[in-house]
Amino acid sequence: MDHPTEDEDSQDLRLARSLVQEAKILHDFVGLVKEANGEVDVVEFRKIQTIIEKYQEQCQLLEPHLEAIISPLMETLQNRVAEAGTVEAVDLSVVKKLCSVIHTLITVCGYKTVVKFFPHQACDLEVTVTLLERCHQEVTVSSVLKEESTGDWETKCTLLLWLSILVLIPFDMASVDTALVDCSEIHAGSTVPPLVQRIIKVCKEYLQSPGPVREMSGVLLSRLLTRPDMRHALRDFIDWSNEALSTTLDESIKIFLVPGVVGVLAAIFKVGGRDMLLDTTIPVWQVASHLATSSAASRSPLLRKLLIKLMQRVSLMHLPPRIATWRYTQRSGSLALNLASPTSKTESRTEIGMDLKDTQSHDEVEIPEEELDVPEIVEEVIGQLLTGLRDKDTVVRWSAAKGVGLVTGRLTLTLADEVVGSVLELFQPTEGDGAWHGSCLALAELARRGLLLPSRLSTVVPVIIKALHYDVRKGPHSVGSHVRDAAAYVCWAFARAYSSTLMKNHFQKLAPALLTIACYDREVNCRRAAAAAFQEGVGRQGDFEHGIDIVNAADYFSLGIRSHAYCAVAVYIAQFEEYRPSLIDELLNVKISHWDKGLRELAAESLNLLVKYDVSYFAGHVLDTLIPRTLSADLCERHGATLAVAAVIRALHELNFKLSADKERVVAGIVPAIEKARLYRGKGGEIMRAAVCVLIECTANLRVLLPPKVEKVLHDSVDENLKHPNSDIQACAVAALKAFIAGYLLPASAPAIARTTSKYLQILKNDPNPAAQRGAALALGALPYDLLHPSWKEVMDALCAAIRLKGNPADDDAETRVNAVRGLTSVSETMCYAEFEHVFIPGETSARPLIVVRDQLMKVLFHALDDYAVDNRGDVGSWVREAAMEGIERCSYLLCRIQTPRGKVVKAETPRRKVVNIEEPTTGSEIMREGCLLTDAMGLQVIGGLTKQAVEKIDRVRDAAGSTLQRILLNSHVPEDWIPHKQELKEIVSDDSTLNWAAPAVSFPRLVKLLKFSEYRPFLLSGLVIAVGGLADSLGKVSGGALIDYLTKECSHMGADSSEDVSPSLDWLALELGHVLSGYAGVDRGVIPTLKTIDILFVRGVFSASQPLSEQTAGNLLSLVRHELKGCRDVAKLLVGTSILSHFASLEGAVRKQSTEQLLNLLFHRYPKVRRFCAEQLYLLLLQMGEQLVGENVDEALEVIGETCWDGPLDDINAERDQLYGLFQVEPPPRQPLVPSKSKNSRLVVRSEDENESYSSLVDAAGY
Amino acid sequence: MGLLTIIRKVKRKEKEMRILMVGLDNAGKTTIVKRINGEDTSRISPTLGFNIKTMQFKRYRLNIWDVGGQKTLRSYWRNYYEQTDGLVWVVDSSDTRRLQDCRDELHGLLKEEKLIGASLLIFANKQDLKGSLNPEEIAKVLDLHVMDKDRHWQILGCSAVTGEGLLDGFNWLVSDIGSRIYMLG
Repeated sequence: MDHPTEDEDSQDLRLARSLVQEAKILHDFVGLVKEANGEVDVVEFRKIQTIIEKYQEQCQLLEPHLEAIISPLMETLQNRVAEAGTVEAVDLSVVKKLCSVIHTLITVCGYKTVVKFFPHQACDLEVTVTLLERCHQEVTVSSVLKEESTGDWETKCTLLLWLSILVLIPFDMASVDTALVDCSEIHAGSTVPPLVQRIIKVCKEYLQSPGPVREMSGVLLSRLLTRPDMRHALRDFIDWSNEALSTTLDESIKIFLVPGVVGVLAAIFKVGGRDMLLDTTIPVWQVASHLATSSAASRSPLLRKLLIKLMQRVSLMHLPPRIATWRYTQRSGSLALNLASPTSKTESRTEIGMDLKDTQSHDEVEIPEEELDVPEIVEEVIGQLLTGLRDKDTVVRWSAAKGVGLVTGRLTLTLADEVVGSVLELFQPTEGDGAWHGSCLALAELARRGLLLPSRLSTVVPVIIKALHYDVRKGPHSVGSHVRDAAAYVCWAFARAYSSTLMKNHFQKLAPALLTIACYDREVNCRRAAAAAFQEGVGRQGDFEHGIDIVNAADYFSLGIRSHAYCAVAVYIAQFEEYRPSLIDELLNVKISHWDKGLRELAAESLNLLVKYDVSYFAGHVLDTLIPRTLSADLCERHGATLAVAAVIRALHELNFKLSADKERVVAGIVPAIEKARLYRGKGGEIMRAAVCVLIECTANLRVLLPPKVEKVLHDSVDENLKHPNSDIQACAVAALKAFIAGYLLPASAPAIARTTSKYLQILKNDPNPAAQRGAALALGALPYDLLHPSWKEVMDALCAAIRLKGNPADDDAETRVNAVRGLTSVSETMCYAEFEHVFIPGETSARPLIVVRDQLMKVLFHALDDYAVDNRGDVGSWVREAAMEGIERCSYLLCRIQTPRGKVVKAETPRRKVVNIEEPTTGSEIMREGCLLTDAMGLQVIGGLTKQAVEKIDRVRDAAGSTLQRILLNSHVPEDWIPHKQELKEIVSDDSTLNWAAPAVSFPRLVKLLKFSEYRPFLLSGLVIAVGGLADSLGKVSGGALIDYLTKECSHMGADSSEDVSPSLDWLALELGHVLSGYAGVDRGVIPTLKTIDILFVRGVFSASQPLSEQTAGNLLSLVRHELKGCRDVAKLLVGTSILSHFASLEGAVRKQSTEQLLNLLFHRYPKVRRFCAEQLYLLLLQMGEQLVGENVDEALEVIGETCWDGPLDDINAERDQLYGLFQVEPPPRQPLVPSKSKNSRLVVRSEDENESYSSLVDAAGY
Repeated sequence: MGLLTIIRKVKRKEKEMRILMVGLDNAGKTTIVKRINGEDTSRISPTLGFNIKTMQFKRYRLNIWDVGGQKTLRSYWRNYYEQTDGLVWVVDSSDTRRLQDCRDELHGLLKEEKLIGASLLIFANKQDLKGSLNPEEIAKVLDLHVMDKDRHWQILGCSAVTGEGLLDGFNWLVSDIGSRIYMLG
């Protein structure tokens, strides 16, 4: 099992499948290009590039197809050049298109892979050089910006890469250079062929380019200059580059040129032979070491990386390559036979655990020290590499680590061991995280190459374990995840490099550390890396204890989610005694004091789950360690410790473990001690409060014996936290209160009632602090029957009062209302269950809970559904509505005598997705089998109210409403006859619990079907208009579309077969909309959307002439609309109204006259914006049906409307006013004097006029 | 770059091998390459220059570089030594006259520093022709036993025309490289 690749494999599979399809596209494209000789539209090329780019992460999938793609493209390129005759005649645009595709392949698959498929005939060389020169020259004229889009640099890169393989031809360069054959131009004294000179010239220029051509020209130069026949050119180039690097150039050139040149040198030293380069090393080294200390290097990680590479390769020139005979190898076969035996002896000795020093001295005796004269330069380079390991940039550290591995491989044993020693010295607490990371990488590199001898392992392993736990706090966070990852890499490399017998002992030490990281690291990559290393170790070990089981449990995926790693994987691993101590220690010593709060909580949770393995250890040692730390000066530590104590106690309780009396006393003392230390105050107080609540809850659950004084302290503490404005703390406090009451205040006594019920009632009624009220409301909900009983009715009344809006924003606290709704629901449940179970004893009032719920509470809850209060946070009423929906659901179940699990009474915040687990209805129904509990009206109201919420505009509310609706309808214990049309409704909402009601496209098309039932229409429409006519565009489209679809499809059908409705008219709809409109009267939140909906229905042709409304309905609706417009000052409303009026004007009958009149009035409205809009509407109306409106005066009327400037001053259009009223034969209303004679009023009016005008201009500017 | 990236890279690298085919001209290098790649071997002209063939062999991707063996080209062989994992030296077993030449070239090649770690497979090709020497004889003539003790090598008879022996040879080469590629990677 190989987990990191498992993920890869599935991805592989997916891409491999899709590649079958795309491969055809790719091949077809290539065939097309070849056939058309490259003349294919650039769009096609782009398409192909997009396909290729998809494989950036999985390029190996493309590799089987590369040859079939690249060869034809390159052939086409060759063809074009050949056909054109001369390079000058080549159509560069085709070349660029071809090269762009190839360059995409280069970026995806890497140039080393792609270059193999390029043609490499000698005859191509000269042509390609010329082509490159042509592209190069062209650039000088085109701008930088243009270069990006036309594929210029892609072409250059591709040509450079092509040249890099062309220059590998095994012929003398001079023999392919036509310039030499022509003898036209032979440089006297130069043995470098002109062709080569041309290449070098172009490349040198590219070396100062910032783009990718720099790297490519480096590749080309390194290949060209290391040819056996290029010694002269190589020497020239190195001289040139030394000069370029040492002279001071203009900064703007240097910044690109220096890395370019260093890069080429590094590439040359990689490819070139030692014989060729050895004598150039001294000057190059001098320049490089000088550069390494320059400011340019300190600024550029790239340059430092290249310098590290260069220096390392320079030093290799001084060290002949060898297979280090002293190297450790576990491989069998001829290699092992050929190798000197001492290493294998070393191995066996380490195995039997001999003293390290002894072994080493033995080695030195047995291995004949090879003669190696190490030049000074090598030592200096090693020094540089060790410095590079500590570099602040990862790329540099990587290169340095690789360098250390390569150089060490060519050293003698003693020298190599010195290097290993120096690397190990970097693991100092004083060194930064960079040094730790770098030296981990170096160790891994050395191990991979077998250069870290087994004798060193026992020193290295403890260091690596330290590195695995490396985590240094820096302010509010910590660094070190890269170190831990690299340490896992070392373990992985060890596992691969050394034989299983040799590693066995060491791996036993590493394994617990690795598993600790795998389970408990904060970072996912570290968890996975540690697991991968562990897996590699297990794989190589064969039968490691529980290895396979753990590998199965702790894999790439299971560790992906932190909480799963903490609470499942770790718990599984902890069952094995070998690993349990290190896991527990990690939690106790590190993770519960971690800076990340979430991690501390998870650590406590994980601790809780581990208790079961060793109860007495946890009850003893663990608690002893934790308890003093609850008072730590470090916030993280005391918070974590408090949570951890709580978690351990909780587990002990669950395991029915009884603490000793001593221990109980200590545990009971924690909270008072925390309070005494005043740890609630200042920074972190809030965090501590929540933790203390959790602790109290667990203490109470365990029934720890409390001295009376302590009991009071705890209760006060809970009460204090109930008042806290932070809702999370309140939630914790309520949970604590419940446990506390259950543990210490029952059976109820008068003082207990006074301390709870009466107290919270008083706070809810009288406390001016809203936070205290919120807490009290929740607390009341949490009280058990025994405490509630004496004053349950009063509690309910108080909660009902708290739910009601007082109409005064200062007094209305949304959270209080939410909590009151929840509290009320819980209290109802507590009381009604008592009634079901015959424990309810009627008090002096004869009221009975179920009756109160039916007659009083449901009304309050329905009322809460209409809570649309807003404040600066937006629609805060929606929280109340959400809570009310849940309350309605639960109270409905009560009325149906359905019991739901009681445990969830308080924690109402967590939405319960699944249908609640329903118990059998209690047999106590005979208490009141009068049947009077359920009334049809109420069932309708429940479903209707929820339906309304389910079609409004907030996704979250719709989701809650939709799923509540679904739950109620699907509940088989809810009597059929209580809800009208229950069967049909069930079908409409469906029983699919995965339906996403928040998605408009899901919910609206379903719910509009409820329009079929006249009972539900008012509810549905009053909600629907909010969505359809609301401001949200997409929501409006979807919901409006659903409504209209339904009306056009279903309704004609319904009208046809319904016997009472003779005509298929939509009278009912107009009627209902009228009701909705009057229902919302005066509330613009509802009126404007309703008007908009009506308008939309007209525009979309639902209310059309073909389905005429009855005169009366139309008149009714019109008068409602006119009523809303009367005295209206809201422009948006006026505009919608105008639009509706113009629709009415196109209808037959009396409404036409009324609406025309009103339109004319609006035409001379005070607001210019309205006037202009109205004029537009009238104009259109006249064009459409002028004759019905004004007889033969159509043209005249059109002219007047068209010619008048409607947004000018109102005074200027008096003449037009009279004329139009005349034309329409409408009695003009008495003209209001624009400037009233009373001077007092006039100012007011003028001001308001100004204000409106500016308002309208503002609206105009906003493009309304 | 974390451990998971490294694992991914290493796995990929471990699957790639670079193999250099060299030998005197007319030894049959290109024929061998074409034969194992399943191409037509009936008409093959001398390689002027070099060829690269990428193919899948077992779980490895082999990049085979086949370089012409003419005398003039040999001095350029060193263009191709970089990062070579395996070396295939092809001998024309029937060309007894040039075996001395062959031996000198081979031993010269093995002195190259860049090829120091590469596994060496010697194909005694053209075993199907009458009068060819068998691999043991070739080994003797080529002085293979005096080779550096660190070198992994193997000599096998083969016939590029019939295909005999080719698979054994590549099997040995690939498994030998595979057993150590991780260490040197």
